[in-house]
Amino acid sequence: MEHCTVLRPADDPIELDLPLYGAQVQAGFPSPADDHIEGKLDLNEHLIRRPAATFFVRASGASMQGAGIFDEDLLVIDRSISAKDGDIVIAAVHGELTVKRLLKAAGAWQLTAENPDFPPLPIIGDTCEVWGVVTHSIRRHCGR
Amino acid sequence: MATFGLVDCNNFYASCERLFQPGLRERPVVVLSNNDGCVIARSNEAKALGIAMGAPFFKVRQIAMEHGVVVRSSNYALYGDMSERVMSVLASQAPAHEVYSIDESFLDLDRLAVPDLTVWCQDLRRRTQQWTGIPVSIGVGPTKTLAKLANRLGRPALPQGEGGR
Ligand SMILES: [Mg+2]
Repeated sequence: MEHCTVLRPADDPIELDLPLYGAQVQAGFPSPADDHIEGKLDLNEHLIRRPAATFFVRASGASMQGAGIFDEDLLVIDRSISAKDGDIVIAAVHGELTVKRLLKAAGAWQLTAENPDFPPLPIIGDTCEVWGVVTHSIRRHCGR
Repeated sequence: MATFGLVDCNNFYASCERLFQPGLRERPVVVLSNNDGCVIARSNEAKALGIAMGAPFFKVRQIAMEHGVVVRSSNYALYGDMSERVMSVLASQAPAHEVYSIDESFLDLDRLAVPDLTVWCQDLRRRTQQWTGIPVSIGVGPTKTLAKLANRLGRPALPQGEGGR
């Protein structure tokens, strides 16, 4: 089992509005950038709808690769959202937190990995419990 | 007639520790004061073992070891953050509220126009627990003192079942 770590948001988050460019990066020729400013973006506002219910979790392991979640990615969790079939969730499984997809298959809930190397976990009794719904994942693409 | 509610987080510090480590859920948990001197929070399981609020840790060390009690140093940054979350959920739901301590808040429910106050309180409990992960109890009464008393009476009877976090 791969265990996730919960991080707390900073005590004094800053608001930082940066211009949001509506760049179609695959579109080829650059045009004057001014035409493409769509507005201002604050990442906290973009990622966090309900601060009281939002937690950050560091993902661990390869089990959710197929969903685009990789080892060390940062996950944004919103506990105010009730989990539904198909959501990616943080679940407490045998006392440890793990990230999986919640699926209902043939009437039974299960937690599934998105990696063929990991078998699905049936949710039986109180050995598993949804801890929160993953709303975003944040991935670092440049290591320096 | 005035109507007050008292929301009190259950075993607050112990519940905060459990949220981030679900493995602690069925186990007795105690949290110790700053210098690890005294017990300042107990889960229900720890209360059931007869571990008293405020007990010097050396006096309960033996029983803690015998029963596999999880012992935690206090982490006030964590408790402060979780308290703010709980208070902000209460602020978003009640017409007015007054923070009374790190884990208690009085709600002024006079101007609350709901068909059934009990259902509303049950809803608030459920929402607070879901959003923040912290279980709370709510007592309601015509004065703050009676709301607090109602809160106390609404809890399961436990040995040394006095309040505290
Ligand atoms: Mg309390």
